[in-house]
Amino acid sequence: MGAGRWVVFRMLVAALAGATAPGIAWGGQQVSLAATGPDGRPAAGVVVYLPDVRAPGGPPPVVVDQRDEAFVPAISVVQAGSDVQFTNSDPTSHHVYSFSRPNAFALPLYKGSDRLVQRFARPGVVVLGCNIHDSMLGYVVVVESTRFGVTGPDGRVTLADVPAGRHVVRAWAPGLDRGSPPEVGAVEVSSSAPASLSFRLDVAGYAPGPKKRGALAGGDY
Amino acid sequence: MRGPLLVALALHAGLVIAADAGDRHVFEGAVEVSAIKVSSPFTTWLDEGEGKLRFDEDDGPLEFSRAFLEYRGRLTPTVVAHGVLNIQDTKDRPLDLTEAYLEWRPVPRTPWRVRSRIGAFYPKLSLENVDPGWSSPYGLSASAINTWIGEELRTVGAEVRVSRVLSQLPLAPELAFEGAMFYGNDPTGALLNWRGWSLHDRQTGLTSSLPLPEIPAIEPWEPVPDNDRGLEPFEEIDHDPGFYAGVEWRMGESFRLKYFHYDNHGDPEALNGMDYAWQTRFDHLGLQFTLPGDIGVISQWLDGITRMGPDLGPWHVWDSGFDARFLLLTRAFGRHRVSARYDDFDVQPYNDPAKYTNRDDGHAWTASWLYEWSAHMRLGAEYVAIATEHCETTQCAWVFNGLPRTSRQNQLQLSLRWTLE
Repeated sequence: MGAGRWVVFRMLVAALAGATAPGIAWGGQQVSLAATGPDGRPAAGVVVYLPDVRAPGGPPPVVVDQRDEAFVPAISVVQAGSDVQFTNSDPTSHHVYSFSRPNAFALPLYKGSDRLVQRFARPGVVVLGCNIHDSMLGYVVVVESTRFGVTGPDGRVTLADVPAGRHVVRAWAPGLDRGSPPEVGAVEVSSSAPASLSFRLDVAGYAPGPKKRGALAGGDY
Repeated sequence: MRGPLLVALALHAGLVIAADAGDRHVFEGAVEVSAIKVSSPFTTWLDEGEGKLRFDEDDGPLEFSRAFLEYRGRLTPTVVAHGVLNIQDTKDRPLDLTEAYLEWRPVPRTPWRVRSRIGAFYPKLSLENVDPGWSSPYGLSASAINTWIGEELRTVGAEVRVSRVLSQLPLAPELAFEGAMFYGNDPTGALLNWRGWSLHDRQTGLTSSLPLPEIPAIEPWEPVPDNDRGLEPFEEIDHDPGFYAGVEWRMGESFRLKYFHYDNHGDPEALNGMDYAWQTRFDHLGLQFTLPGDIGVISQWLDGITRMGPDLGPWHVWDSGFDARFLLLTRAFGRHRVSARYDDFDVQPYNDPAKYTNRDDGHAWTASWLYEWSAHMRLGAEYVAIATEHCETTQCAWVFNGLPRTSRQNQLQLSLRWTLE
């Protein structure tokens, strides 16, 4: 096989891989990130992203559902310019809003199968609320990046298909300043091996438990 | 028992309308009947006696406790109408509204949320009465403090609450400030002064009146202006608005701390026909939190004064200090809930105690068990034991009139409640 044919073959395989398994494209590596809180325990609900990666691909569009009077997931990350779809699985209406500039918005009252879409054009932390249920609290973090994620209960998240090179990692969790997520380190991604980074935050992460009627009841204003 | 049946049918009709209207119009309601056994030396205050309970030994065994229908209707995306229709007994006005107001909830444009109410409503003081119809999820009878709020306190005016979530702090607590200006509530405090504290589940309708007891402090010693017609606690007499203001620190249901100051700004010398205004003010502190083992703790504390009539120098003609506190422990076991409460309360007359002797120094133990049998049916059992001292020595009017200086009043109640859902 000549060199020209080999290039075409590589392109075909890459195209096939891209079509059948999005996110695992040719050449990119996995980056594993692990967050801990100030006490050294795993920090869940930490938003992480690689601000200098704007390569195509990345996670699919985000849906924020409203279930049992809570935002699910409570924390989402999207690329600036993306749409977020708000759905409602509750029998009652919700009235989602955010006062966070420059992404402030209010969606009309809706319930049931209505699906409303909000575009977040500018980077920043968007605090979500419901004007009917004051206890509801959620976040959409809008980033200028295409490689991002949110840590799970074990404090870990894996970003797929990260191009080779040195990448700065930024992280944010509720409790940190909403202005500019801090740099928590950098990863050196080679073309041959996955990379990883562990870092510690000044906050404990964010893991809202399932909403249940516990020992004490009610009293929403 | 035909009344409750009619109410049940009316509530069912409400439910059918609600089902058609989606959640733009929400109806919630309940009908409750009880079996009662009271042990008390007194006739209930509702029959103009001295008893602190809603019932006495002549009542029972079966009693109609309550029916209510609460309506919430969204008039616009940010304006909600609220109304609670209450049916409690036939003593005065069997059918009455306990609350009727509009709530305005503008969509926040800053981290500060503004919520406003205008109309007639309960100030948000009670940590016990947090269910629809201002009912309690913890027991059948309210604490002394919340019983009194249900009897004599209602805001007829406008209230604003401004709050913000401090999301940079752990557990994202909410800090809230609230305040209101109101008319009405001028006779508030009269019942406390004459009768003292009480423990029951009865709420006063907005246009209803309350009987005053034939206690020695009132009769036969002196004619009391407002005794004949009973007391209309939400009446406006001096045309001077009252106010309250409060601050709350809250983390959902798991922690609440709330301070509140109330002043009805009543002119103690103002008179409307035979009804005096009472100058009543109090401070209130509410605390709720969860202990390990999922045990809920609720406590409220209230301390104030009430006075009526010309100023005689050291005191007004009628002049009392009052205070009360309670501690409630509660735990849910699946569909069961067990709660225990200790109430401590006091009314201390500042005016000539030998003559008027409307002292009320007592405490109460309450144990209750509730069982959610189904989504629509709740069973309950509760025992209330009240011990009170009515005067400090035997040389008092209470004793001269053949009434015991101290008393014990107990009530066993079994209840069956049918709920709309």
